[in-house]
Amino acid sequence: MRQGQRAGEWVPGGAGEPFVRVVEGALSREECRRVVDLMAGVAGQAGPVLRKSADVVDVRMRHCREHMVGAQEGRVVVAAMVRVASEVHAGVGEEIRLDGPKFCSYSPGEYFRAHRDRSADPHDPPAVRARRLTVVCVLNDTEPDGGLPVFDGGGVGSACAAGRRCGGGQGRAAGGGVAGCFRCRASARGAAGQIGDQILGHRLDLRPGRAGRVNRADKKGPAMRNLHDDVNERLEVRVTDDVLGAYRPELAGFLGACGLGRLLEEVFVPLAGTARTRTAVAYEERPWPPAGVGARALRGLGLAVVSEDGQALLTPVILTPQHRTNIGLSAALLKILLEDLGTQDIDWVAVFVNQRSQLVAGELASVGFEPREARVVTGQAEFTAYAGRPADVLERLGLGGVRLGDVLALNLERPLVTKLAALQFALAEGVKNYWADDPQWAEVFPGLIDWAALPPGGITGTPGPGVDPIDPVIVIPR
Amino acid sequence: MTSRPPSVDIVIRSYHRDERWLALALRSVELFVTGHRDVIVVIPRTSSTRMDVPAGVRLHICPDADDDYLGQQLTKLHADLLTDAALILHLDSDQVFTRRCDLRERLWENGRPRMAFSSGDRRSPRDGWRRSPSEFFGRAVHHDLAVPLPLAVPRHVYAAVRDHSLRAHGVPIEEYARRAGPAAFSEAALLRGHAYLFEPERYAWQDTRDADPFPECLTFWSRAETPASVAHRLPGPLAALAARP
Repeated sequence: MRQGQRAGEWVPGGAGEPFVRVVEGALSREECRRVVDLMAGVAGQAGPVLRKSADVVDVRMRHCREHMVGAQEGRVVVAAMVRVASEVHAGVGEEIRLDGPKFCSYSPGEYFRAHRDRSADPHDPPAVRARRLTVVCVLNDTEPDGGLPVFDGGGVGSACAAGRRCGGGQGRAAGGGVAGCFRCRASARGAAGQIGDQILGHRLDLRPGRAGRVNRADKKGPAMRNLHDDVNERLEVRVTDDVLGAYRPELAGFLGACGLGRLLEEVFVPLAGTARTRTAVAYEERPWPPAGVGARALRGLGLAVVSEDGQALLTPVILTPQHRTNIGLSAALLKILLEDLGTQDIDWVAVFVNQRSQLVAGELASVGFEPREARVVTGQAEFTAYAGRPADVLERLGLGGVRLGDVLALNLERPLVTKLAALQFALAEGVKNYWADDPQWAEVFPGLIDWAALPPGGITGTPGPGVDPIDPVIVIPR
Repeated sequence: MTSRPPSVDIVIRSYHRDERWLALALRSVELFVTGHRDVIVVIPRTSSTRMDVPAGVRLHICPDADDDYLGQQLTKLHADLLTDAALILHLDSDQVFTRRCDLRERLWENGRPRMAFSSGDRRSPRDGWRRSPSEFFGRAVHHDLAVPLPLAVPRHVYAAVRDHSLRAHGVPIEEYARRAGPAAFSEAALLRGHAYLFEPERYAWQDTRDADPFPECLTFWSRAETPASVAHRLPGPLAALAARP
């Protein structure tokens, strides 16, 4: 169904595969050009694939863009698709609905690998499970003189026209100096009695990519990788309830590298004896041998001191100097720590923030933390607890439904990366003056509080009249 | 009348760091290997959110292990719980078939499963992996049974090894492995050790000094190599996949 294509008969798509029919000239060149111009006028989003009933961007499977084209503007394509679908479906005795179309563009190097448009997964939408027919409307031409991008069975440009056809449903674009490949696709499904309007109840359902995720190539080009990608792929990230017992040598090396070596004896050793902690760690393994002195090196950690009544105090994620800008890693550690705290029946997580802080307070508030009554009072400053529910914070951070691998690879939308960076930089910088023994200028008080050494009742001890009983009050002696 | 050949499933224990190796290995099986039933891929839970496993395999998610080097060995020692196949072929993610391989021919000799060993001294007799079956079974094993995968094992052997750990050492195999540590524990040597010590006549023993037991399969080392770095050693369809950034 494209300009200049031989029309007519059914051709087999391969052994055991459905048949394919090519229809010529379903749209005029002028109509194609108008739709291409429309698509080129909107930026588009990374095209998702359906995985476990959710739209996800998977660049290994699909690497192209979907463009929002309004129902009115796209009606010519819909009408052509309906004509073809009706012709194919003639005599079946079943009415059809059109599910789509999606307006897709393929820049050189982009693709949509072999796949099925129909699913047998009972969790998938009924429309997907009931699909019978896929209609692909190629908006390109085979000859460059028509003013349209040139398309030849999956490639774009002269190199493809010379014979580099692609099969198996894979649209592989080659170079050639043209704008790219444009196509629309839709699936038709059997749906007796559900005819809507004259174009068979179609809907222009240009499903955007899942919130927060993005095609890596959209931001850096397909060959570019993040500065930290290689090491992040190697890192093991996990949560432990015994960071000192399981990682003491690694912790010593890590804190030393961060200029915080004194914290091992001052904080971690006494803390391990008196408090319950959950610690997200990221470590790199030596290629070989996998065990022994020096086999693992910690690159980052995030720590929570937890109480028996469902609260946790967070210490901002600490990264080695080489990873200061590794936002994928800091976000991954925060994500797995919050997820772990959720499974540990932790209702609230809190960060103590200098009462005069706007930067950190603002960043925390933007992701679901709220100021509470609890506070830490030192001789030089007063810190207020900002608390949030782990699941809410994850959601507000945009990390709730995102795969850990995508977070580590920063395979995320740019605004989300910016938000994660702002939070990490604010917290990491905000706590530095505390580490430097200058709490007056610290915006964050680390959550390394020894519960057993707190006033009677610990952090959730007697709050006093009129105070929310879940709000702790902590006073550090002046 | 010919008897029906025993069923063979392929089991690959992988993890997120080997994602690209796994894709390559699976593609090579798809292209070149016949005579098996299912391919079963096992990955730990933490890896399941960091990698995609190609379609067409049975995917199992196993618990995370504190030490996944031991964890992957323990997964293999429980492979009979993942499948009802009569014979289980273990592959690593960084093992790639480059030629046609019919497992019905490769895995059997005169009706007995082939089992590899080495009569050589490439590995010192004091080496922990080489000594692991002697230590575990309490009987001398003079050959090196810790030769690399692929390894095909009849399903009854797994339970026998696990039972031996309980009876002889009083602990589950997981605890035995933890105490032994990765330098002195080889799951392949234990599985072969049971065959070697208790039922050697049931196998066709193949000395790796005489012949490569799996000439169709190249073994790489994922901890030091990448698919891209070995692409030049692979046939066309695999080379293109391996070279992909």
